[in-house]
Amino acid sequence: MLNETKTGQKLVIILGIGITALVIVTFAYYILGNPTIDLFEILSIPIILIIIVTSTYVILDRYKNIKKGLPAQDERLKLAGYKAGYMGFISAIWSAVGYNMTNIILFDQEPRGGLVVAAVVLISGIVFILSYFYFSRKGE
Amino acid sequence: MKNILFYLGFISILSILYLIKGDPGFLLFLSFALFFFTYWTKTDERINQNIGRATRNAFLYMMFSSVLSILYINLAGNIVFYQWGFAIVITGALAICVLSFLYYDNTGN
Repeated sequence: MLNETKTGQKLVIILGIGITALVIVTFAYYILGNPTIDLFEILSIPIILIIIVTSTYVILDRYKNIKKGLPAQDERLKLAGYKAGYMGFISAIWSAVGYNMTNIILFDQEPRGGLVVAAVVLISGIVFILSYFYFSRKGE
Repeated sequence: MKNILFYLGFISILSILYLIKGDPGFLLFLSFALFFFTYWTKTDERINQNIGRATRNAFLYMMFSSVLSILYINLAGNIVFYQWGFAIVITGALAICVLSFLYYDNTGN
């Protein structure tokens, strides 16, 4: 795999920096080009910010490891990633079902599709980040 | 990890809403009852790791497909696609989770 050699790891980091830069530029262009934004667009702002902050943190962390001569990601961080992905997946399923059901049962109306997708990405994204930090620090 | 997967089975209780609302779409929640079977599965470190990898793949798929759906709808202005996008995200994630687990379990990678 690409991630197993030193050159591959550096390539992954460079790719990550490139993609993050693209996201930041697109995001800035989008915000500057839309002086009036609605609720859905307001919701998408924290999602994008979360993605930018997390990816930047992970890229910096891996870069520091490579600079020290260590592998970019050790076994413990790999396991933390698996566990965090697992928690993110479970929370995505629950938030998708929960958001729909809350609207139907409590408010007797079907929610806007865009808001459901935004809620799923936002909630599961936050759960993934918090779990990743927790598992990578606690190592459990 | 199996215990949290087991809890997904409780989503199937929502199929009772069919009796109240009369919408047959609620019966689809019955499919989540299959997660109850994970309670009886024997697990070890390898299986737990494979579950973690499979759910991580499903989570990544959900993130990418959700973002692509939102992007497509905003660019094309096709609001009707939302319901299809939602279905693609959820069913795709469940399918990827199961297929990834089977792959890791069978190949031992």
